[in-house]
Amino acid sequence: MIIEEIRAVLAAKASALVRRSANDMAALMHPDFVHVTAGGRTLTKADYIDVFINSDRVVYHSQEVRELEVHLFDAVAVATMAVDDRCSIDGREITETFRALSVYTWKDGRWLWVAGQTALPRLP
Amino acid sequence: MPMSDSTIVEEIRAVMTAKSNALVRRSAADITALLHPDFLVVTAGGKPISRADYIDVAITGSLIYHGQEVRQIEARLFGTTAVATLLLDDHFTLDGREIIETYHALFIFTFTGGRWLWAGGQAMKPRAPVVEAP
Repeated sequence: MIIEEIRAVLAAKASALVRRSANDMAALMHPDFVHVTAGGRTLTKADYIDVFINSDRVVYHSQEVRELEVHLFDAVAVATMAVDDRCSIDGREITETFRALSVYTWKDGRWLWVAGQTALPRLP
Repeated sequence: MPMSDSTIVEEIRAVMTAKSNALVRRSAADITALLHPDFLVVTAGGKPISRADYIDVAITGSLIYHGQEVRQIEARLFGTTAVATLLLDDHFTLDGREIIETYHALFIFTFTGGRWLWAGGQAMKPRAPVVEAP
């Protein structure tokens, strides 16, 4: 099932965040990766690893994914989900639930994360 | 199928313009023709909705579009799928309230039957980046 394969990629990503493993995170991401943060900032693959792995500012304690839904378009999978994050930013403990959309491409026998956006939902 | 980044951006811009026109004209037929049958979009309120849901909300529902402008389109091609980041300047009325707002969007388009279809994505109003989650 594709949804279970995407869930496995998401679990590997959460593990890389918590272990602060830039190598493991890089291996999950496409070279042409793009991500839009909840603050509206656009990050490349290198930016993402710098912000969420290498920087001392953000330290992840855990990340859990719920309500995962996956749609397949040729060799691209689009996933929506709720993400429960527990981390510290500049020493402050944060517990927050985000809505996220992630895009994956099937390359060389595995799913690579190519794009994503996280949001704190806000009604107009 | 277009291959250069600039061509893809212009083709995506054309789809977005057609979508904006369909929203303003409240044309369910025109917007349906632009959306993939397996369309999935997450609204700024955090709700995942299907193609039928989207048409219900944005065309036949209480949301009335007056204008929608697209800026800062960047597109990446993965096979027959394009992933685009962009800004949407929206002007609409919701339940009688007039709203002018800029949204950040990550949209996915798939090249099907010789044209680009909007397959889905997520739009959001950025919140103060006290927390930025992957």
